[in-house]
Amino acid sequence: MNEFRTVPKEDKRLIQRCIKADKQAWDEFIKRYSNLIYSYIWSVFKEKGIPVSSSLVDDLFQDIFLHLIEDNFKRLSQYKGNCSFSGWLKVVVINFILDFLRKRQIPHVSLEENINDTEGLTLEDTLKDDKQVPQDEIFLDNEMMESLSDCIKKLNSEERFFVEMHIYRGISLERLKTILRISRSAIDMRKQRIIQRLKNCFRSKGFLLET
Amino acid sequence: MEEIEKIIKMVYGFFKKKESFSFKFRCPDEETLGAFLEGRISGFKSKRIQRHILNCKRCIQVISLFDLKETRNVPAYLIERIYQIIEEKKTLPYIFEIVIRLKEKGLSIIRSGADVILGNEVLPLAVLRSKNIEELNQELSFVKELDNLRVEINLKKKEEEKLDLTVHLLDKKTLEIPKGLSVSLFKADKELESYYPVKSRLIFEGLSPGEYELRIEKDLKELGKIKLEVI
Repeated sequence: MNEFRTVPKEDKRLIQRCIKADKQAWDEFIKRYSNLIYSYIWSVFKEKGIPVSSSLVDDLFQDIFLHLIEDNFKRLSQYKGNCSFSGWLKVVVINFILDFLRKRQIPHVSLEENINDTEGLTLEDTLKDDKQVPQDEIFLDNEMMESLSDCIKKLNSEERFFVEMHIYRGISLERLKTILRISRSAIDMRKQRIIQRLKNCFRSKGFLLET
Repeated sequence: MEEIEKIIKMVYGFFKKKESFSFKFRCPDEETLGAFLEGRISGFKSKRIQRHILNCKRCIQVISLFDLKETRNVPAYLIERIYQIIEEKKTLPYIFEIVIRLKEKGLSIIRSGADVILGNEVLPLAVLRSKNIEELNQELSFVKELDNLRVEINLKKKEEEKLDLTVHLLDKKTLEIPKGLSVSLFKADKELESYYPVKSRLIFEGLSPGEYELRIEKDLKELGKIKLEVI
């Protein structure tokens, strides 16, 4: 059984007890989820390539807890048990940090200037919509790019989703097989099929590929 | 990454820059996105989310960050701070507090923040005291209003060292039990019993001396707490 098949009903029961300020439930909550929250704060900064101090991580960690319990546990009450609590919490924490990064940037206008009180953040850092996608050594001129882009256009939405997620964003095949509810061998086959299709299309556009 | 994948990535990046996307659907809420990532959504709904993700920078960022690559242990001092935060947040003021002493034949009121029902009269404790009524019968009733809710507490001495607690909750306007209410009895932060009242009267039986907290909630949000001390 993998982590994604935990029973949300059990999670929901724990959260209901937390909302009632049950001390034992909070002990369990902290045991289960504090490392997760803490790790995700570090991870978001790291993945986005933004330096962060441990004191800022500490502040954000506390702010996230406050965010969950303020206004009479309003945020925690929003968890309905349709996914695992950890799944919900991960999305909440990531959104919280992304919002924090976005808000921290508002008063600043320069793209390059380092901001003293934000651990070296620049506006450019937080505007990046994803982690750096390194530019490849292969050189293709614009004309060829335009031509090869037609092959991407021909992909159906499922195939495009696969290219976006796995090839462009680097999301693992393990995660994709879970999202798409298919087996590992089926996702491997899908990958081969899409790559082969694009290869054939690229060739038809006159792009020479090694076999 | 293989050469062909690098080329696809480049071409796809070029394609994305040229292509203008339109947002057809609102971002899925956190729980829907979590369920999608955990493979709990299928069919048309899943395809709709996939199409949204292809066009939404925000959601794609969340998904890219969803799988943790490294786990870190939270420092102990931060855990301590979290406990402090939770402790501070959970201490909502009490609607009222009652301190009761179990007597040989009945109950006596030491302190009460709620009015006392005596026959047909509703009297503040001070008035009751002025009437020199100290030890009461086997049963005591207290009443207080919390917004539109009428909260009545009955305490009845049962055996030598035990009493029954009855709670009546009614909407003042409709004279019905408000929907979504729940009532829980705690002793030393431990939940003893919880009810979702279908009748206006809830009974918690056989309370021994100690400190209790009665928490009233509506739709999982705490409306208020009542403190009861039995000595």
